[in-house]
Amino acid sequence: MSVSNLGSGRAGRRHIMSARMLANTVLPPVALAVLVIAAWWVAADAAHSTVFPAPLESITSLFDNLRLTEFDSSVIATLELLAESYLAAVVVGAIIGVLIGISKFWTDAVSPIIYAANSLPKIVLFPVFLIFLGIGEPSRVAFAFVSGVMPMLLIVLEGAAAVKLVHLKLAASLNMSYPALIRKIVLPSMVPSLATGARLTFGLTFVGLLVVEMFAGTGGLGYELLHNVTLVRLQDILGDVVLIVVISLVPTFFLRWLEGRARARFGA
Amino acid sequence: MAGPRALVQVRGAERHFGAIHALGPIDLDIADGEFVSVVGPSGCGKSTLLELLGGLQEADGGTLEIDGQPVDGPRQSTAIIFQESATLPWRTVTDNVAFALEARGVGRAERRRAARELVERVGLGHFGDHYPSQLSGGMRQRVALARCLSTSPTLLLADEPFGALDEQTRLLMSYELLRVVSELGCGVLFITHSIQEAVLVSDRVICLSARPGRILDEVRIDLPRPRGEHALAQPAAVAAIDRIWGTLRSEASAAMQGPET
Amino acid sequence: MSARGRGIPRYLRPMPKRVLGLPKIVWTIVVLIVLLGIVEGVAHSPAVTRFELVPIETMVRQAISLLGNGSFLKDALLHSSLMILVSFALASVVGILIALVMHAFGVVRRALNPFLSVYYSVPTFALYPIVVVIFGTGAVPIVITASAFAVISVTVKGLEGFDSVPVVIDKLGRSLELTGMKRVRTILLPAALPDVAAGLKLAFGYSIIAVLATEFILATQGLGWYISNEYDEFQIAGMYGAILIVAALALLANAGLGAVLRRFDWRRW
Repeated sequence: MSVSNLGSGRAGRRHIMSARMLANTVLPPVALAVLVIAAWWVAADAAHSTVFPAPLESITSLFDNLRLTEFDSSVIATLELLAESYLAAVVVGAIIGVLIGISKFWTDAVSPIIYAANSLPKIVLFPVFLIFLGIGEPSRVAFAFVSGVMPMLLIVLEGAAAVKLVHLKLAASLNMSYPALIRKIVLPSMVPSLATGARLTFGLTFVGLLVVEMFAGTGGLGYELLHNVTLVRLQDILGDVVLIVVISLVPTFFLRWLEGRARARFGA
Repeated sequence: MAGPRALVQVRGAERHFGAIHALGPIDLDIADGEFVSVVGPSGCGKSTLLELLGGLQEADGGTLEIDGQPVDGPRQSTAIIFQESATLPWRTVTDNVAFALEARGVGRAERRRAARELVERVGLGHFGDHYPSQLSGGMRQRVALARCLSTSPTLLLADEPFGALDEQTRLLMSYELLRVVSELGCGVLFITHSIQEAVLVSDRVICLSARPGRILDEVRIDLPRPRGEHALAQPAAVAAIDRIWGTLRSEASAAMQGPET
Repeated sequence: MSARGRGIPRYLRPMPKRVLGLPKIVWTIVVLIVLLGIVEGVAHSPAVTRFELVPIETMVRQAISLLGNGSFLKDALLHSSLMILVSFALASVVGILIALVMHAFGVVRRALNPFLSVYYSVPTFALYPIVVVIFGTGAVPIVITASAFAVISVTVKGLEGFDSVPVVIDKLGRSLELTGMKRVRTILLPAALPDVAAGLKLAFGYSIIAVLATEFILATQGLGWYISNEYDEFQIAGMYGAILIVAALALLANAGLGAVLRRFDWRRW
């Protein structure tokens, strides 16, 4: 299957996959996707419904919408807020996670509270954000941030706990100082969890943002989506959903790739 | 034990974990350049003894002295090899070997040069830029060995370093270790489960009882150095193995009856 | 002659049992009290009105009175609980079935795998508007959306569980001629139980979140709707009371399910 890289040169060399393996992993999902779209088409055709659009109609209406400045500014608004809240969630979650995670005592003391808070349906707290931060973008960004920072924190805490004892003993036997330990052993050990956290946090932050955009109703993709529900414009809705899926897929693939690299380089 | 002060002197060392009496009291000496092995059933405290000497744990009773000074923390001239190789997966072989010097503050160019030389010395010359995940278990332990060499230790503490390797690799690594140790001239405390391995490499084998570990016997290994290919077939070796097994057998079968410690 | 003679490095010492004389659990409570104290402090500060934040005692009082209110219990609490349970049940059953099919048929597995792994990165919640248009506002779109949100966590964990059957056990099974349904019953499902249990825990949490979110945005009944309605009508105290009930419900339900599922986690027996 793959070329063994024992004694074969620089690290990071890719495995060579046979064409057959490639077909085996790529074809089925592609075939499935094609099947689903085909089924959608046929169903829409057969239903002859004025309400239920065919795939092509949804895409066309999406492109039509994208030519409207109003829609575009909604999309851009969402993208900006997503970027802000996501980056903040990852950075803050990572920093606080590392600070607490270094100490098992504090990790054990604080984790139950964070786990409990994480299991709450945070959306019901959104009115509190609205009350204190107003109706505009700040409350939405803040909420999306909170949606993302808590899971990130939990993942980073787990990663900190997983630093290997034998590495700590090694450092101790070399009389390594605490700061050097953090720099040279703890942080590198945690890179895979940070990457995993970054990947998972994206989806959660985006969902959080969309949900509150749907509720708060002054702009953004979520608002557009809900707006179209009340107008029963299904092809616009489907177009919006396609757009949302595309927007989320690009960072998703990038973050997964990043995670893979992190694990390969820093994982055991 | 008479004459010049021993490199390592342990008197009445004890270790308790709460209510559990894990080790001791232990009296032990290791002379300069002497290779001492410790064998005993699981949970008898062999690793604890090693960590006490390595300054990674504090004794609850008795004294431990290296070079006439009480052990109160990790020593610069003591090097430790752990069982699962403590190689850092995100560093290359060379950078792993250089790690000990880096911890000491040696400059980058100098430590890389020293590391490269050590990597050659343990026979990993072509793998300097590889990562540990690309190496076999035996190769990773050689990286650990090279790292220990970098600080020119006077005492080497080895905690079942070949425990995770297969039989044949263990044998080869034992010879490798002997070669390196004789070049360094350091004293060695070697923990192992394998009686044969202990007899092959040591000057003296200490038999520890089940928990709390106490010394049951000390067997002098009178085999010529360097230890050759057929060392274990020598009558002196066979007699030693026999005697050690005789001492440990009852401890081992007691361990089989009870829960895993 | 030790190099620095300062003793064993701090990071290798065992975790302290107490900090400042207090054990961990006391510190957990301390942190909790501090957080509640902040809420209370803000609520009482002159800058904050009762349309923004109310003292904890008021929240609790409102919660208690809501729990005595028949229509709240029926239209909100019971309604939401029902939605959650139905979604959870649906997600669990469908999730395990999908996992079984994927485990049994390699081609299906390879077809679905990429979608499964991006499932939670893509806002599946965007499905809700679509089903609302098709099915109207009511129970059906809520259950569909919440089940869809939760189902894949069961599938992913289920697959992990089925994959975790040690190869030797599988060989043992084959040598004892345990195939097909017998294999599923005696080997596959028991082996997968701890992972499936973990998946069910996740799914339950997701069901709660999704049901409440859908009710919050677009519904005419339910706990989520109640809270958003109180907010719309400036009944802030009532809103906080309901939030408290939701928080308590979520915590108790998750803890309860966790306790039940722990009995199936043979790894911890």
